[in-house]
Order: sequence, then structure tokens, then C-alpha cells
Amino acid sequence: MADLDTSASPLLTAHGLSKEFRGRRALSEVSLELPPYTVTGFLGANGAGKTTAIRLLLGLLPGRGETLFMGRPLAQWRAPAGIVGAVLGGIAGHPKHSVRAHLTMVASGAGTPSGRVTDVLDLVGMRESAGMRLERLSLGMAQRVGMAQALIGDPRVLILDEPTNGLDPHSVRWLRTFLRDFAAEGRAVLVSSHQLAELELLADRVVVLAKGRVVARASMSDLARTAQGRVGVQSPVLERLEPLVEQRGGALTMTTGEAAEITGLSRAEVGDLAAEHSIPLHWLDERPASLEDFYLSVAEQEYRIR
Amino acid sequence: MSPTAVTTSKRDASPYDRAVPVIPLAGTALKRALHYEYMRLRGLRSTWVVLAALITLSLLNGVLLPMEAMGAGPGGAGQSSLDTGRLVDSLQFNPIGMQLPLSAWMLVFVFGTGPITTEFSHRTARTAWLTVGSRSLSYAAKLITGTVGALTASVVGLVLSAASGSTAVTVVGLPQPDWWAACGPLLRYLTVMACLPVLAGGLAACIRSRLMTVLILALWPLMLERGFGLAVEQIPGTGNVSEWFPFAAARAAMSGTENPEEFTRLLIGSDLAPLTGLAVFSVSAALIAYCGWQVYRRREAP
Repeated sequence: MADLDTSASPLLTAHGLSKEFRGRRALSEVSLELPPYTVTGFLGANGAGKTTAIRLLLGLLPGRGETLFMGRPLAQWRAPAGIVGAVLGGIAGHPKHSVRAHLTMVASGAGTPSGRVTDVLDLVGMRESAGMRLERLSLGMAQRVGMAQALIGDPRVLILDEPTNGLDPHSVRWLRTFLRDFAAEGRAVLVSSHQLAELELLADRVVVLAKGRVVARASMSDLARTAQGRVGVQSPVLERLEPLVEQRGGALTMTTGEAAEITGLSRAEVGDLAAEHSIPLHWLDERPASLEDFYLSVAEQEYRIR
Repeated sequence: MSPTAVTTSKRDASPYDRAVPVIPLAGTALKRALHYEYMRLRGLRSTWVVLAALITLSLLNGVLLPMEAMGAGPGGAGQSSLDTGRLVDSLQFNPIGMQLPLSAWMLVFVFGTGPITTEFSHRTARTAWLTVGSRSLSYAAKLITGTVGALTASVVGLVLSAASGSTAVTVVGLPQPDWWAACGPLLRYLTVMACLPVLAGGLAACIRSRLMTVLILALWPLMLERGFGLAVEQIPGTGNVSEWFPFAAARAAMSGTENPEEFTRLLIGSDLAPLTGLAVFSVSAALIAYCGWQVYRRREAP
């Protein structure tokens, strides 16, 4: 595990978050920091406790542990919308409210001028739909309105739970750019997602949760060191290469007829091995470790231990 | 993607580097929470539909006042002035006959239970709690807004009823009733209407279910108090305990009749003095609101 070396104080610090549901432990001593200027990816399988952790962070769920936003509990700020914005699966509003009425209500509570509503509607591309009732919004539209709501108070921290659900590719791209820019202003973002490829493009660091515990934290730059890359090969005699790879401690997985992926050995090692045994290779490349590789290797280790 | 690369390039330009958000004063936070609740109510069509219905019924109530006066005369066809008891009962939307004023039935769901039950049914609690300062503020704002809303609507309804009633009485050539004598009971009616959202909000916070809250609120003044009272009064030494129940006490508080006949007394269900009845109802509302708060502050946001 390697944390980023951030000189500025974290915008969010959580210690010992724990939660039980009817005697079953859902979250155990989870600690988390969100430094400024960073997007943190929150990874975990279904039921790992990501949503529970997020709800505890935000004080929406009673439980053990403490979360401080810029050194204070959220309630002490008395204006939470200016501290943290959250997108927790669409929009949580009265279905008969129009988009504009809902956002105007939130702006009133946040103490921001009503003109901010138009600004955030423009930002998420929902100005034309401002008169629509919340109950009529599609999943993607609800996500965008949820995003607008989270931004109304101009928060320092953004927490998003599966924000790309229901978004079209253009919106996903917009969201990615937006979150990068948001973090670059000195704010912090926490994104929980199953979309590993998406997080890989977005996150600066990742925190992996498994069975209610944090099992790994790493910056994206550390991933290559932590997780193994894959070597792609093509050869008409892969069956000869496979035992040789295994002898050297690697593993060969067939992908298509004459192609395979090798883990545990570098590209040079595979090339040398093939040359030593006069095995013809038609293709040889090395793919750096991806977030998926990292996540799967962490998850594999975690489940092996248990 | 290196976080440090992003950090270094943008850090100098950040407007958030050292900016510390301003913590609003407690009063400002409450004001925002109240504004939030007001905007929530304003954005709902049901609020306006109920208010429009109340205004229409209030005007109608006043217009029909001469008929009450005519029915009040000897043989039911007199030309006498309307007595204070009937005037008050009419302007209060018949709390004795209906066990709770019709206006209360209309307003309690918009201003009392609705703000809290929608937090469960439509998951709006998370929006409220992440927008206004805290759960305490959110709960207080709901009760205060409900009280002010119900009180304002009741005052407007009462003024419209009185104005249209006074005009109608003049038009048909009847003597004006004793409006001054009605002021006391009407003020107590307004107090009951102001306390009702507090009671209903507390109840909704305790019960959590929208349907059950509506059901219990509907049955409480009509059946629960009487059924429970009858059962309790079978126990020797309990006396006439049912007259201390909240809605019986509220009816006693609102009553404008000094010595009601037996049937009216039975409908009121309490012989408490008006101010005692008002105090009992207010304290009951406060207690239920407190219980509701104890549940509300420990709750999960759905």
C-alpha cells in the first residue's frame, strides 16, 4: 500500500468507520483521507461496503467512527452544501417538483443565490429540461440533475456513487473532464464505481474495499509496481511454450487460436525463453498493469487469505 | 495518470488553496432551513390545490352564514341574530360535528405529515440533511414552517369567512352576530391549528409510514380517543380521563358555547375549561413532537 505524498491537509478525514446491520458487520474500521487536488477511486465488489461507507461519511447513516471535513464534523459547518456535494444514484427529491423548483429549494437551503440554479443547469446541460418534473426524468437525466444539485453550494469535496450509471458516452466524457478540472482547483473527489476502465482514466489514487475493510490503497503511478503486467504472444506452438513459462513461475492463458497472455514474466524474459527453445513467435508485446489487474490481484489475495 | 503532476501544475492557480468556508450563524442556518422548507412547499402543486380549496370553502362558509342564522330562529325559520356558539362552530369549519375542523383535515397533511413522510417515501431526507445545517435544523424547520403555513392559511380562511359572512348577513337583512364574543374561541381555534402540524409532524416522525400516519391521524380524534377512553374508564378510580385526551381537549378549547346541551357535550367529549383544554392540546403536541425528534435524529436517510 502506498499513499500519495500530499503536502496540503486532507479535505476529508475518516477514522474507524464501522457499521453493523442486525449483528452482521457491514463495515469494519474503515479509514480514508481525501487530499486536495485528487480524485480518489473507491473500488470494491458488490456488497463490499462502498455505499455504506459513503453514507457513513456523509452522516446519512448512524454508525461508529468519525468523519471530519476540513477538520470539523459536517454538522459543525452549518452549511454542508458548501463543504460536500454528493451524487448518490440520481436525484432524491419530491417527484412532483420540477427540476428548477427542486434546485431552487436546494439553493435556498444552501444559502446560494437563485441565479446559481441556472448556472448549474447550464453546466450539466439540463437548462432545456428545467420545467420537467423529477418523476419524468430518465436515469441519465436524473444523474445530471443530481450532479447539478451537488454543485449548487460550490463544495470543496464531491462524493459520487456510481456516477456514470445511465450516462451516455458524451456525458461520461464530460463528467470525466469536469471532475478532473474540479480536483485541479484544489478540491477533492471520491468516486465509487464498478467501471474500472473509467476510473483508470479519472482517478489519481484508489482505495479498495473488500468485505467491509480497506484492503489496499495506491496511487495510480504505484499500480505498475503493485500489479503484474501482461505479455501478449502469438505463436503456432503455444503448447510448447506453456510448460516452459510455468517452469519459470509464470502463467499462460490462451486467448484465441494462436494468441495467449502471459503473466509473471516480462516481455524480455518471454522472448529469451522462446529463443532458447527455438519457438517461433509471431507477436510479442507487453501491456502495463491496468487498474483491473490491480483490483483483481488485490481481490485474489484478499480471498486467498480468507 | 499522476496525481502529483496535476497537483503541481494547478496548485498555484487554485482559489481553494487556503480558503476556509465561512460558518453561518445559527440564526442564519435556521433561516436557510426555513426557506428550504418554504420553497419545498411552494414547489408542490398539492399545496396550492389545498389552499385554493380552503379559500373557496371559506368564502362558501361565510356566504352560507345567513342560513345558519335563519335556522337558529324559533322553529328554524326566524330572523334572529346568530348566537356565538353556532357562529364560532361555523367559522371553525364545524369541529364539534366532524371532531376536528374540516380545515384541519385539509391542512394537516400538507403542513404536518407531508414534509416528514416524503423523506421516507421519496428519499428526500438525504437532500435535506446535506443541504441544511443538521437534522435538528431540518426537523425544527419542518415544524415551524408547518405551523406558520397552517396558521397563515387558517387566518386567511377565517378572515374570508368572516368578511363574506358579514356581507351576506347584511345583504339578506339580518342583524350582525356578536363578532367580538367570537374572538376568544376563534383565537383558540387558531392556536389549535398552529399546534396541529407540530403534533402531526411528531407523529409522522415516530411512525415513519405515510399511510399509517394518515390512518392514525384520521382515526385518533374520531375513534381512538373515544374507544380508548371508554376502555380506560372501566377501571375504577380513573374518573373521566378521556376529557384530558388531546383532541377532546382541543374541542373543549375551541368551543364557543358556554353551557352546551347534552348531545353537544357528548360530541365535544370534554368539560375542561377552554384555556385548560388549549394547554392540554399544546403540551400534547409538544410531547409528541419531542418523541418524534428523538426518533428523527437517530434515523437513517433512506
